[in-house]
Amino acid sequence: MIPLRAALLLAVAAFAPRGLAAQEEAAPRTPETTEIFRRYAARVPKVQVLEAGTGAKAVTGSGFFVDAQGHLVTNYHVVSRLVAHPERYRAEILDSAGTARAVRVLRVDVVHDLALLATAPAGDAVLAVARGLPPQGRRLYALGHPYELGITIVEGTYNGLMRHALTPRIHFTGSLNPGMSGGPTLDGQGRVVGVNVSTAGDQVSFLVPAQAVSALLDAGAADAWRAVPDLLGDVARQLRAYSDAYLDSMFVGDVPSTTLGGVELPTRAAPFFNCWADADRDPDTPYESVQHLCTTDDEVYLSEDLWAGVLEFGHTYYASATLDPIRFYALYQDEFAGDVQWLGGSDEDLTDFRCRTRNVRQGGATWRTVYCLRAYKRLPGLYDAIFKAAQLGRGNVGVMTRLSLSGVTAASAERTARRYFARIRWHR
Amino acid sequence: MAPLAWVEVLDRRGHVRHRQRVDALPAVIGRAYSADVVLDDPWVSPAHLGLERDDQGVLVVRDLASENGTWDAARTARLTHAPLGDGLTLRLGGTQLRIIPAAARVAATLVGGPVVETDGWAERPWVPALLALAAGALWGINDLLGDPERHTASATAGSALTMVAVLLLWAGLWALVTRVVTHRARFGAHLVVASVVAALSLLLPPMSELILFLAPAAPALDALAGLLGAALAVGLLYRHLRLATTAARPRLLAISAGVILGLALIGVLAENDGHHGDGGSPDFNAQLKPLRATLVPSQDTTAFWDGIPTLQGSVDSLATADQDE
Repeated sequence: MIPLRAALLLAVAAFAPRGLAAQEEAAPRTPETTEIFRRYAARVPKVQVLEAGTGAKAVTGSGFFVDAQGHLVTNYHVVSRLVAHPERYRAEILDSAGTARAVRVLRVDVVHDLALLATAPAGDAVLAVARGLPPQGRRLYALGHPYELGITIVEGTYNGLMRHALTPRIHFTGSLNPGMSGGPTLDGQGRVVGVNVSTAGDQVSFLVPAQAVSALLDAGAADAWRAVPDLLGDVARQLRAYSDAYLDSMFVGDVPSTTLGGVELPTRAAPFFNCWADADRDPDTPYESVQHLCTTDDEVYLSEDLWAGVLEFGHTYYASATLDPIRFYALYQDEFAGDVQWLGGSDEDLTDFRCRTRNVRQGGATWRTVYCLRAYKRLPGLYDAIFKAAQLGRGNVGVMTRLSLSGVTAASAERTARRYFARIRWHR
Repeated sequence: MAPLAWVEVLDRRGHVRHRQRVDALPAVIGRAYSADVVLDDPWVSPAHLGLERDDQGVLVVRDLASENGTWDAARTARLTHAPLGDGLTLRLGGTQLRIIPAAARVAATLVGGPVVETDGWAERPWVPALLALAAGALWGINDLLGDPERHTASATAGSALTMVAVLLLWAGLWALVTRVVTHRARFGAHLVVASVVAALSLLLPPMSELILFLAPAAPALDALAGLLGAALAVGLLYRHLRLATTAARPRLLAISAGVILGLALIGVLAENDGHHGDGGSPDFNAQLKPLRATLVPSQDTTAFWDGIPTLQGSVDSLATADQDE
């Protein structure tokens, strides 16, 4: 049981897309794929981010024209390097005629993974954005530039919005491949239903819903299509607002709980959490353990190895019938030190962690309690936080818990961790 | 014939290099072969200094119009003549001299039986053997407690015996060196030193861990543990060197401290060289000890959360410092 971690369509992995032989029953009549391709392929240019010094390709993706004034939409993750380091990169599109045209980033929606670009208008045909969602099973057509293979069409099926998601994503059953990021997925009438964003492999792919595209275009129009002056500052602002919103009521009110080793602990705190439990009773090891882990799939791409919006908590129960307390605690301490989620990021983007460790009384027990914080250097007001606690004083039984948050404000992180810890109680 | 006085040539540290008796007065001290006391020093005149009795019969030294003069021991005053008194230390050219009348008093005799240098109880074979076994046993227990996955008696005995073997080898190497330098191996004494330091160094980490567990807020504890470790290492080297050589104690202590300081410095430099941030994982004080909860000093949650703004401040200053780079 692994959490569903969707790979962005920038990775390198190849397998041949295969159309699904799904039966479609009439109205509206499904057009031939060849027809869709003939009509709309030219409206989907390739988007390239180039290293400014050498002009070599750093990232390729896809995009589509949304109006006659040269405005396009792609994924934020296609142009994220340019946003983060405008001095190191530039971007261009290759239109259907193969002409390269410089593009600039007007604004981004980092949470939905969208970017609005502008280029010199050249009478490009545009795509309309669909309103509402199609019925489940509707045939859809994804367009994009996988690898270096040229414009490609992929047939697939609409399978509704992803369940358990904080940020809505369309579940598209069809093979999206690296390079198709930012390309449109169309219905039979050529309207954009979603924007290709990621895949979990085996034809399980994800789209950004059209509604988010409309919202981005509305914001662009309302600002007279001007470029946001400080894009990176705007990314930070969006992430602060997003994390404050979803953490606002986290661990407040009625939160389901689970009990491990007599300790009451929070579980599935919101519908968008996925929680698992697993027990480990190996006859060769002198102890048993039970893990309980809750994760979300709502991660916000910041760079190849850095994701904001990571929200994960878990508990582990350890007990041993054979080990004396001293040896049991040697094990318990190793597990406590090692049980830290790796939150990624490099020295360039983040400071080192700083931690506060104390022995704290909570819920009728004493806990070794650790709170660690690190700051984003280029995204002001954003932090990663890790809260950990291990119950003390029970000889050869122990319960430890951990909460990890990434890309959040310090105030929200602390408030969330406080409420989380306050829910933990020991019933002797 | 009893001597009238002694002329002693001193080395840099004031120890007597050689001494020559003076049987007749007046006596001449100088570079010439006709002098009564001959000094091989090119800065000393052929007839440099005279030792004689004055009109009252008092022993005096007199400069014999030497080229470079006769100076007091501190080299601050040039003397033409001076009474000898109970003895006088003088500087002629590059030579330091002490001239002492034969009538000068000497210090009282130390009281004691026939004095033989021994290693005391370390010379009884069972003492070093027991200590080495005890250090090995500690090592084995440490392994057993620290690694719950490996809990067989044979593994514990194995690591204990390995430790004993290492101690024997270490003491043996020192004994070899000692035998070469002083013609006595003193293996037992070396083994005692090695075993005691090995046992102490094993006890040091659990003690510092316990303090880290009980008082997580205590600052600079790592530095203190490091200092104690260094002190142990200096002690080890010093004791071995004392057994192996006959040099003065302050000198051996300085050598030991210098060697350990140098090694520590190399270690620190090597560590700093390889440091590139925390690699995305926090480095925190994860000590857990199996004490009863009532024995563990603790605070309430409010006190814990009250410290978080300070933590945030330190992280923010890290971010600011990096931006300034």
